[in-house]
Amino acid sequence: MYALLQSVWRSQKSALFYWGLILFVLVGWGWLYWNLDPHHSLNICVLKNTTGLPCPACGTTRSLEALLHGEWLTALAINPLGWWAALGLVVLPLWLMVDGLTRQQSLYEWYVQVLQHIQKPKWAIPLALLMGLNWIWNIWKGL
Amino acid sequence: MDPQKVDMFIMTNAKYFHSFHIAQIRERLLEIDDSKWVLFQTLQLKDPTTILIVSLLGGALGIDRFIIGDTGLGIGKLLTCGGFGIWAIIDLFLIMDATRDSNIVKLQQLLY
Repeated sequence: MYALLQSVWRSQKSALFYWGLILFVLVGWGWLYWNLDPHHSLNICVLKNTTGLPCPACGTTRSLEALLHGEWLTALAINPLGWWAALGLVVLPLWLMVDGLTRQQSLYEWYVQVLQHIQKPKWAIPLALLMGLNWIWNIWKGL
Repeated sequence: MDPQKVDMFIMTNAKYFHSFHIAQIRERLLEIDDSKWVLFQTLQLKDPTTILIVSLLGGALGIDRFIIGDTGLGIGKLLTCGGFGIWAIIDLFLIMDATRDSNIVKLQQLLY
């Protein structure tokens, strides 16, 4: 009985993962498209709106816009996360489509494996440090 | 386990779990051997109210999700300015139940 409950919970979890990711990709592309109009600008960052300080991810949209104009280094200078966001926005929809068409859960399995790895100190500490440095850089740049 | 001990555990830890789980937890605890009592006493559970405060202060950075063990969602929130600002607000309403969910998962590892 317990094993059955566990398997149901697990399958529900992966379904939630896929729907969440589909929503994320749609919102991500929609947000980018909306921001490409120079008349549009909206500050959605809770941290920046309340404290005036940028968050570690602030500037990702501007970085993506620079990338779309072919300015690779400017994008890196605004926020290096923009490169990763661009990679995600291209790879994730393709991977989701492949999983949907082949009825597999390869993306979910990959995500679970990556999560297990990055929770180990040997990955978690350097990643947290990098994120912290990027945040300090963001504050210094005054994004 | 001794019913008195079980009831003591339930009374001191009820706030960490959903109310609909309590009866089930009590039933299961009664069946368990007394030697596991220490393990239940030393279980590290997260207080939903504390996590709500963390969510108010550091929700935009995903700190609330990291603390309750949802590392994947934490990273998602951290990398999107709190899920485009909207998720951080929605999470103020979801985080207490999510904390109770993570507590029951921890307890289940001892119960079964």
